Amino acid sequence: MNPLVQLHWRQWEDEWLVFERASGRTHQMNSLSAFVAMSLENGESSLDALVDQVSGQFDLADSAQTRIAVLAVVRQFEDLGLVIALEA
Amino acid sequence: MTPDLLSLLLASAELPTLTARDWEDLLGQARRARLLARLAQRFKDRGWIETTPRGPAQYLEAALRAADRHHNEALWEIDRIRHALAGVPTPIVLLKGAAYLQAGLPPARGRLFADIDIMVTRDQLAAVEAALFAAGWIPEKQDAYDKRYYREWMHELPPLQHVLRGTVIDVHHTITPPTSRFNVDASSLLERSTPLCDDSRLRVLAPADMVLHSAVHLFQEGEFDHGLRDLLDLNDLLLHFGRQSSFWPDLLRRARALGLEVPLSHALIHLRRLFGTVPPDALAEEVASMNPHRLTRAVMSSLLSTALRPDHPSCDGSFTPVARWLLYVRAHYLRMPLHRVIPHLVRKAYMRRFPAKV
Amino acid sequence: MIVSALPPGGVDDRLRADGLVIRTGPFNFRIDSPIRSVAEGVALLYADYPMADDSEFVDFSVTIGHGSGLHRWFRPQARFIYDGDSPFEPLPANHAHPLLEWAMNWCISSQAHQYLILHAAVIEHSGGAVVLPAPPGSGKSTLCAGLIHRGWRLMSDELAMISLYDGCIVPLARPVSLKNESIDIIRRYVPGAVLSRETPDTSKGTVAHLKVPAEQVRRANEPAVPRWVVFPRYVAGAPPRLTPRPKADSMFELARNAFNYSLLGLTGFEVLGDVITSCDCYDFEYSELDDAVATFDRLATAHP
Repeated sequence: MNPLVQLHWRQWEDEWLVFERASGRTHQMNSLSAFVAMSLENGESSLDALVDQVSGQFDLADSAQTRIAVLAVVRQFEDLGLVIALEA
Repeated sequence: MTPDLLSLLLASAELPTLTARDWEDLLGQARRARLLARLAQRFKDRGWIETTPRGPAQYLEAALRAADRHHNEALWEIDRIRHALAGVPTPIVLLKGAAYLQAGLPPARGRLFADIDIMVTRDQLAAVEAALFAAGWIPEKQDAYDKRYYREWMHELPPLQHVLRGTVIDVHHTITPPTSRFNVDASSLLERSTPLCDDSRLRVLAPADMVLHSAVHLFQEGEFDHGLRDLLDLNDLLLHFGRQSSFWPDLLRRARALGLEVPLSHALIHLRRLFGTVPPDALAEEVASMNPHRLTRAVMSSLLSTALRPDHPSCDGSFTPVARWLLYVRAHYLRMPLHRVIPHLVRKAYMRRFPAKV
Repeated sequence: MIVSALPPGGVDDRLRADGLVIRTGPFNFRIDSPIRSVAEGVALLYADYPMADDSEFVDFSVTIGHGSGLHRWFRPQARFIYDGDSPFEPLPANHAHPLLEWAMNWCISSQAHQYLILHAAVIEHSGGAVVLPAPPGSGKSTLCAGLIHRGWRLMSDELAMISLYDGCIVPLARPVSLKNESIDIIRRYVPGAVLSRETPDTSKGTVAHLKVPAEQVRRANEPAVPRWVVFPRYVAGAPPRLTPRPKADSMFELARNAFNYSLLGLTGFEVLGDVITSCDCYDFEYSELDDAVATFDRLATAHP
């Protein structure tokens, strides 16, 4: 996670809004994105570990699909500047 | 009520008692001079906000909120720029506000940031532009005339605006345009630049160079809305750097080496007049010798004095519009050879009438 | 003392001299203008508003002046002047009164950052406020104008001002701006409605402003707690349909259409988050004002 990033969360059931303080931007997220963001916030830096955690949290089979979904989310975060680089 | 309330408040030690109308004029002058946030910051530092009546206090606090937001966003932009230029072999020298902010210098406090100004090596300009483009900063819409103005005549790529965030970067390769009377060698500026934190590619100008850049900018730019603010920044820098004994001698030496005695001496005249800031006694004579010819000095001084008062109706003397116009032309004269000045000014006036703005 | 207590010609005199200072909600505005139509508009629409004392702080000084140079006389223009500068391009002289209203909105939305300011109408019933965000042309102003003549109190037709300190909505109670067909719709719906002169050919079409009932102006210092957020959509011929709208989405939409949400950073996020948490959020489709009144009244009585 980009060291400048500071996330503030709001949740209503399974809808999430997060305010990122350094950039001043607000993002709308679903539970998957929110979970990935929080894991990254907690210091997770390995893609494999991230996929494992996501599978565990959402009871998903650890399939290529899950990996693709997580990767897509991470790429999006990279574009937004929230994430710098993720080791595989 | 006397004009220059602003100058009074920025330098005075105590908060005078003000009527409601005075408060209104003060806020208006501050807004016009783009100094409301700075004024508010001063109030906050001195604990004056608590004793300010609720009405005006709200607007001071509002200005602080705006400054805070600008502060955060500027830092974010600098981070994004550094990231975007990771693959380009050039130092990234932050200039003006971005430099003050990232280096934690006094003029950053209570400042609203607009564009981010950076300086890179000339031979990497194309690579820099390409890398920034790939990261989402694209040239602002321009017609052919403005394109020539920027690329050929001035010292800048056109301003680059981010497609999503709307933030603007001005990329420079030197601090003065090649066509102006003042010609500064960029390589010495780069050599003397100092790195910020552990990323040695992100840099700021050496203290003396930063001060000179500020002085040159003030007297070459045509936009006098910022006159007072730029002088305040310059004053902050002098007071801050002046705490080191090597600074002033270095400043004067550098001014001579770069041929920038004239802007510096003009700046010092005004800093003395407005804030009482003077060079160390030992150097007073040397500074005096930098002053341009006496007659020009008197005329310039009085022109600049008038033009530098905040542009608010409560401050207007009848001299002002002429003074302002003369200085605007002079600023452009310094930037471009005379035969190019007139068409550009006419064009700028034309464009001002018809931009699509709210 | 209220504006209508001035002697005949009094408004015009003041506007031409030192300015007329009016209180609208939490703000004192000083208005000055040499233009007759501005004086007429102000005398009509702001008759019931209190004037401030000479010693009071004025939040915003707004000047609506003549065009400069040739435009003083040829294709005469009106200009909004603030702090000695013109933030907007000039408009034709007959747009002078609407220009005043837009200028006042601009002052508030660009500077009053002691509030979170949303682009929305707000009306109140029994202490609870409905926030009605909507893009231009969605009918929110017509809805607003109609409802305030059927038991609801106007807080604002354009700027929802949320206090950063307690999350309450603070009223402005300024004249409601109406466009094109709305003008006739409201004339019919509210017999005796007092409207300013119509200004044709503005960038928004034909514009007129509706005077706010005196009783509601008198209550312009009463805040309200936000209880509902309703996104209205006018659909010709449609029966009324109120459907719940997800909260995150509602908040995001409100933030997108706020004037200073970004500027307020984390505070904006928290204040708006609290508003959404405590509000029921809906989408509302309608075509008849009476249907809207019935729907809103039901909302109000379901939540005492």
